[in-house]
Amino acid sequence: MTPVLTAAIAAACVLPLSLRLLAARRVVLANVLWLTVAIVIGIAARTVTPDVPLEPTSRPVERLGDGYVGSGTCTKCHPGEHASWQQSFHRTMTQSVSRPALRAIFDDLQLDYFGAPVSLHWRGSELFVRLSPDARGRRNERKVVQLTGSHHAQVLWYETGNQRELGIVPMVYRIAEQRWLPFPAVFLIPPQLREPPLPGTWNGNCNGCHTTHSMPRLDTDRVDTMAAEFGIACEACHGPGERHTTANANPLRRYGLHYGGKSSDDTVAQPTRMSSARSNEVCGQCHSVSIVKQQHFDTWRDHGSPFRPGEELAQSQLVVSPQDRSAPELHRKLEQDPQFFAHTFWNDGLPRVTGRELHGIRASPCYVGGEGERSLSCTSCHRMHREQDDAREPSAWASSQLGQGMDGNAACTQCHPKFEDATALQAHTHHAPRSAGSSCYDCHMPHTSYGLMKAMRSHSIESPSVARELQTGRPNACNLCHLDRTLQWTQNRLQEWYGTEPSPLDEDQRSVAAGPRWLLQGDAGIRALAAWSSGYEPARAASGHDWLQPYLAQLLSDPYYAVRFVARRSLMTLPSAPSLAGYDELAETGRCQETTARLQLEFAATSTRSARTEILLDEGGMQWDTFRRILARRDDRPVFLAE
Amino acid sequence: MNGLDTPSSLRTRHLRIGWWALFVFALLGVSLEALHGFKVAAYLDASNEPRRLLWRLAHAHGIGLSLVHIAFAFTAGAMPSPPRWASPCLTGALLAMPAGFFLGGLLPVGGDPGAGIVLVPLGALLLLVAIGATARGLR
Repeated sequence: MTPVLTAAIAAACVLPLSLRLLAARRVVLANVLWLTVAIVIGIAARTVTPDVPLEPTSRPVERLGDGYVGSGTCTKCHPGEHASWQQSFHRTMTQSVSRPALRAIFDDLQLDYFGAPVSLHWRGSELFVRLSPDARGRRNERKVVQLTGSHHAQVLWYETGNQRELGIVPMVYRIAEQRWLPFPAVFLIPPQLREPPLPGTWNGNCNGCHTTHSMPRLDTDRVDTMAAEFGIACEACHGPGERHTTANANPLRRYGLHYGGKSSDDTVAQPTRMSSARSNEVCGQCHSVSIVKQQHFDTWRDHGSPFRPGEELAQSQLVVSPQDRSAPELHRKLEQDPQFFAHTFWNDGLPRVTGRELHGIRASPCYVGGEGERSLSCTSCHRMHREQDDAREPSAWASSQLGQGMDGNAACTQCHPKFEDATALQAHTHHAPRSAGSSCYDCHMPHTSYGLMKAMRSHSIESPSVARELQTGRPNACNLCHLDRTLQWTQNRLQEWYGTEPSPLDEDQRSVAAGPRWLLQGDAGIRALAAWSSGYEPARAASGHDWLQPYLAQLLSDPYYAVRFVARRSLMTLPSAPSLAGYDELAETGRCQETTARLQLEFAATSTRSARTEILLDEGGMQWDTFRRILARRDDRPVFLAE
Repeated sequence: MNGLDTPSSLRTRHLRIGWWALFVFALLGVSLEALHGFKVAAYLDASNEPRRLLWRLAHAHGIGLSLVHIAFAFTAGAMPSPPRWASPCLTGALLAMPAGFFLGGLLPVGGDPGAGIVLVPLGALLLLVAIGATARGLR
């Protein structure tokens, strides 16, 4: 109706001017008349209900309410914050399907899900998936309506036809590789698990953290899932905005806040101004392994999580800890997955999977021992809004959402300024000041979490420890770079430099380098971490690369697809760049073993690496007997790293 | 401002004010285009949206009011008895409204204009008085 209003106002101004014959008084009267008409039309335009498209009934929808007003409201007063959020991957966690939203470009695509055909095709602006024919041989075509993710991978969801229930398209698009992969290959799960998640998984599970204020509304006969907003929007972290917007519609209040000396507005949650504990829980509502408390389950199901930023998370969610397995909320979880704890945590309670950083932060001495502003919080290093003077490309910020300089030692010297001095740093690390060995992150936050087909940093700030590795199985920071050194070597250094008490080691731990042991006999999660570290530049610098080929080649035929992918990626970055022609990670293990054997033979024939028994190389070449002996001890317990 | 203004002197004064103001605010417009041309973040970044809006309003109101001054010069010249308050109020509006928008955009606070914005309603009031007085004088 805006054009009508504009036209009316224009007419009110122009028409009387053209009526030259009118006397001056009539001009005034005419102006008043026309302005009155314009005002009436304007008021009418505001009261006429616009045409609202019918809300779809076969997919989850966005619906504001419960005090949530949506990011569109926030942008009116906070355009800068809104713009930086727009550039973040939080915004695009859940999107309706459209060509711009989907990173893969195609019109018609034929894919293969372990032998079963899956095809995707656009029809105008609508995307459809054709799955295997059903039991009666009927064509099984569904409309794809939603997608999850936009940074590393995109998962597509189709309408099942059962109310708002969604089913997963079993092929996942990996953005970096520009490749469609079967769902079980993208996640580190036992290879025999080839069934994609059941329909309704998004409604009952994923939407909790991939939308803002999700409301599952899921019963035996009801699938009515909705959310205040798709993606992680303003109100996920700042709380429902209705009170804030209503209060601040009053300009006197706003200017009172601007010039009145008050540091914050109590009508909205502001994580950067909360205590570390509360602030971390704002992120931790999703970045933790947590379950809605039993007494809030019905509320959660119908009206979404009762947690509001600024409140204590424990009031509404149980943050799971392996140290306390008695909570009633865990019973159902453990019935579904008796190995839940083993699949999710190292046995000291730190998560094995990425995206669960709250546990690590809470375990960190920087959080436990810090006070006030010096207590570690997510916002100590991360910035949810790109800073105005940030010279980096928005994509560089969005990748990690770290503040400027927070990707280096400056993150830690905020509270430990003495290590800004190169001499003090070197005295502490026993490594050259500018080397990776003097990187706070690499020693105190090593890559010991797995997710998104790569290793991620632990968010527990801890010192390297051989004893801890022996206790938990979690690789120690030293050997994640010094892959070619033994645990004994590491223990000796830690004892010499820091006076660490030594732990008893077995023969292999004393004589075989940590890298080969992890790569050959670790469980699937550890193999994936070690394979990733084998391609990590600081690890290459510390331990060389000319011995890795036979180990990474071995992982090309690993039982776990995800391990194969990670190993292949590291293998491809070796300077020798071995040929992987004909190799397919998704092929049967027997076929993959052919590539493994070929690359190992090539290495044996061409390697000029000098002998080093820790990495199983002697004067005569590889110590294949020892190699096979260690490989035979591979930890084949099922690993299910549920990201 | 005084009761001795003749139609001729008003005409000369407001033509002079109008054309000089037009020059100043056209210059402001060119400056804003230059800020666009050189992609100055302090003007174009999303976080500076209030500044961009307010400075554009300063430019637009300045130009518009300059033209009103020129129009007033001809109107007053044709009036046997020019209204007493129209001229000073119009001049006050020309100063206060664009200045209010400009200062409001210079140092915005949160999503709101800075304190200088208080000049805008003052200028608007002066403008209304001037328009009303002029209209009344046409009887």
